[in-house]
Amino acid sequence: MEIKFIDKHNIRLDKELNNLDRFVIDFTNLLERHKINYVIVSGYVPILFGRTRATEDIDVFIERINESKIENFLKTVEGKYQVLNTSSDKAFQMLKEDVAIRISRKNEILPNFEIKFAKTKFGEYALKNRLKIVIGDEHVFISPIELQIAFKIYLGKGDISGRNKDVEDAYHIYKLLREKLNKDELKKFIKELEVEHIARKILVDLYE
Amino acid sequence: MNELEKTMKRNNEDRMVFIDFWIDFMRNNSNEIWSIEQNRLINSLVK
Repeated sequence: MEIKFIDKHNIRLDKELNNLDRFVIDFTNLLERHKINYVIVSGYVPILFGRTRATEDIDVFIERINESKIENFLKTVEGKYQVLNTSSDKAFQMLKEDVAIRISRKNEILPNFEIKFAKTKFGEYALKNRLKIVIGDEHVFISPIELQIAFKIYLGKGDISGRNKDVEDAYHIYKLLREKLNKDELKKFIKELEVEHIARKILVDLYE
Repeated sequence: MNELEKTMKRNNEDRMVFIDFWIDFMRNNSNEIWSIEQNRLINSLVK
């Protein structure tokens, strides 16, 4: 396995791209072509790093942009993609009201992108401090790993009896990358999200 | 803890053990090898 931390903002990951990776890269390339800053958070991040599961949606935060930029983007991609949960002309209003728009390939529903404006403190942090993951000639931008682990534990905190994929995701990323992580930053996010009691049980060696 | 809760707890623990196993597999095998395994799963679900 080859994961090279080039610097604070760039990681080189060697892997064979799968269909989900290609689905994500095709779409995020379009966002970049339209100069829309984005960051991928949540379930796709552990999958990118080898987690053995798939997902129905890819969570994406984008910067707050104006209505014409959204409309122009949706119009340009409408031959290949569709907005599932609203019409293109109402998409901006939904984003403004902090409701995600879902975009899939035309005539398909799954998987799809769940897109929101980065409005929360953590969303804004993820966008501002996003990591560039370079895979061969391709790349995607993801949330800082430390925030991602803490947030996954936070998402899973309410589910302690059944299968908890969020906690498993956090554990996978932590186990794979723990030698490279900023432990103090990880602890800081865990504390801010008030999930230290869970993190101490899962990420045992972080607190030794 | 009733029988069902015990089973669920054991299942959760088993899944964490599998993650340990899988991470070891990733660390000890080339990208081509572990990617083939992951891609077999994902490509069966995403076309």
